[in-house]
Amino acid sequence: MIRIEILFPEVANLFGEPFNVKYLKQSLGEECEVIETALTETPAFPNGSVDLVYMGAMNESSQLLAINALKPYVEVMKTQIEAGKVFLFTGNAMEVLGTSITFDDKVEHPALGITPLRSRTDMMHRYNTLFDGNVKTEEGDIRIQGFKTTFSFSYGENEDHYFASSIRGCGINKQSTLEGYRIHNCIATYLVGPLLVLNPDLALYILKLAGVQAPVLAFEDRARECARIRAEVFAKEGTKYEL
Amino acid sequence: MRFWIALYMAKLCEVLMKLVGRFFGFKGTCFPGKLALKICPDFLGRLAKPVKLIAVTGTDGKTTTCNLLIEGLQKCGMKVLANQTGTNILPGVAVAFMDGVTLGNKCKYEVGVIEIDERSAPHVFPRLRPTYLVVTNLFRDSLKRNAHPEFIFNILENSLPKDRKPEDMTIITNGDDVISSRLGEGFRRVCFGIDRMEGDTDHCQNIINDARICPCCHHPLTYDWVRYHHIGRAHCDHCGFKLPDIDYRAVQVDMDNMTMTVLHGGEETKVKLISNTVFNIYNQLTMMTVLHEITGSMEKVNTALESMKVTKARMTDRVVAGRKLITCVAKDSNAIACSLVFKYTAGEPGRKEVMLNIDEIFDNRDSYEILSWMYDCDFEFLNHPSIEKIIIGGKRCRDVRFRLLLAGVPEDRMTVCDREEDVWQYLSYAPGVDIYLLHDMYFISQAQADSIVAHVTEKLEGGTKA
Repeated sequence: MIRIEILFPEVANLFGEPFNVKYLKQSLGEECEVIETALTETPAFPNGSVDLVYMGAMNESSQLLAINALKPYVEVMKTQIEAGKVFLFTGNAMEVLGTSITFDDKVEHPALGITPLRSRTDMMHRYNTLFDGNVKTEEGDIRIQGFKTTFSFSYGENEDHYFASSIRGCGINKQSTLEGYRIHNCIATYLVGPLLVLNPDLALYILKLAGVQAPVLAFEDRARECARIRAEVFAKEGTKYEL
Repeated sequence: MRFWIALYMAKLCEVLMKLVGRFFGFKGTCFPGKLALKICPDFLGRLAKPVKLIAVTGTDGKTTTCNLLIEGLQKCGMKVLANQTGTNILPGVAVAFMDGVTLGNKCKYEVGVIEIDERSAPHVFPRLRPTYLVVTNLFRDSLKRNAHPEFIFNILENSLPKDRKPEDMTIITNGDDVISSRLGEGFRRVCFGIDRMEGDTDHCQNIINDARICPCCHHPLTYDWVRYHHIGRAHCDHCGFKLPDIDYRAVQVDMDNMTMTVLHGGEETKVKLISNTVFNIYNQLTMMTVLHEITGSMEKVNTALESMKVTKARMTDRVVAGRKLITCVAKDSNAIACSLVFKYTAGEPGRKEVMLNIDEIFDNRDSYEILSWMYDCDFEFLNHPSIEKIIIGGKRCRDVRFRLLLAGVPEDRMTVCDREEDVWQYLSYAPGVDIYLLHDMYFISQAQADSIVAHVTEKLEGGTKA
């Protein structure tokens, strides 16, 4: 039995990303308990009872709410990350972990400071792209595909701590080929999809990190069929990446 | 001077394009508007406008509401300027107003109804200065373009002409919509809404609800009832936030007899319903609210309603060989629009087979559509016993099938077909089974839908003859 905590699902729910956890739950059935923690509630993960902590994409004002709600737990998070706890932050939830977020008003809002990345938002320019890349794991590389749909980019050093190296599609900003940030089992990435639904191998990897022995995904053969076709299209030379 | 050059050049350009269009079979475009704006960037601002100007924006229902409004105003004897044939972005709006003025820049119309794309608001609102701003609703739309409702809310809010006296512009919004009903604080605001109806629930049944927290204190909102997504009656137990009072309140919505009663200013008016879908009842109520604000007479509104129908472009139904054949636009990449259509389809009586052509055709031509919207969308509605078969067409048919599997639809009820135009070949054509085609709204999708309907009709009629 594993416990997954979804942080702030009432706001961190854009782009179908809650399906990352729904898919894991659907795959594990009774072997998975999902806890949903609201902004006004006390998170469960600080007491150590959670195997995987998840937060998804949200609007810009909610990023500030999430930062405020998590501020009291920064030290616990750092300790748990060092100890190998699995955290997964997708979409602009990644920015909550950084040092700061600067919106169009040019005000630099301090974030949690768990990663050294700072992000800048430009609400007049939305950026949509495909992403094809590799995730290095102890068991070898996992090829992943995903999407980015964002107003913001992140800046700062992630050369030693990236989540995925790009084959095509940009990393944390248009000049970068390295996507996301990873510290041990804490993974933060702009990629959406939902990421785990689109990438069965990555979903299995995350489940193993969270302590599931020999996991099997729901409709895994169909998930793999879609992933294979997607990988072919993404790898095609003529495929347009920026949408 | 630049304005006059722009006006004459654009009018000339439009005449020439109409002539050329006759030979090559295309209709008016917004090119003359682009040209005029290039010559005179404030072209729209300088064009003469009707005294009463109604701007309609929002996520869903803009076109239908505009069509109903134009018809209603015309039935009330008014000469209406509209951008029905053009586009709802700045150049299209400019063309509509250019058509509405004489060569001396005198407006020929007394009232204007202009549909405006939400993202064009910053360019259009300051130059248009509407007397009525109608916001149908604000939902999640294309994530590529519109991101999330807060983004669009902020665009609209920041585009409101703050230099105007509050009484010079009335903002008409859906009072059951937690998001759009908060627009334009300080202006005169009028809200419409529908009382709790059969089918409304205590909790949101949809995957997405973009108003789950109080906009003031961020504590969870309590919904007295929910219609769909964040449409309902909500309040905050923590800080006392509540939705605005409803000025035009629809009660006793009676789908069997196709009537509803509208309460306004102590007056009670029973009117006919022009559609049995909730979203079109909202569109009708929006139109009635605006029409009453302009004419001041519910009797005139009621008379205008008499022969009114919702335009059939987005939904058609016919009976072929004893079976219903229904087509319905399910706007691609729009989770809310598709969810509503899926719910409607499941809720209709009878056994059904559904053809689902909802690929984002342009992105999938040389790229891969961003699939995220599918996981915002309630495909779960299609997991309904009355839907015996779903034929999924298009390049992303396997992705849709996978989403439907997660929604609980048994695999043996689904067929995938890589070419959207061929989906009709996989129908069973079994007696007593109605046929639904849910398709995208692009011109090319509409043409494809017409072709599929022709094939299905031929097959059904051939079968009958045989």
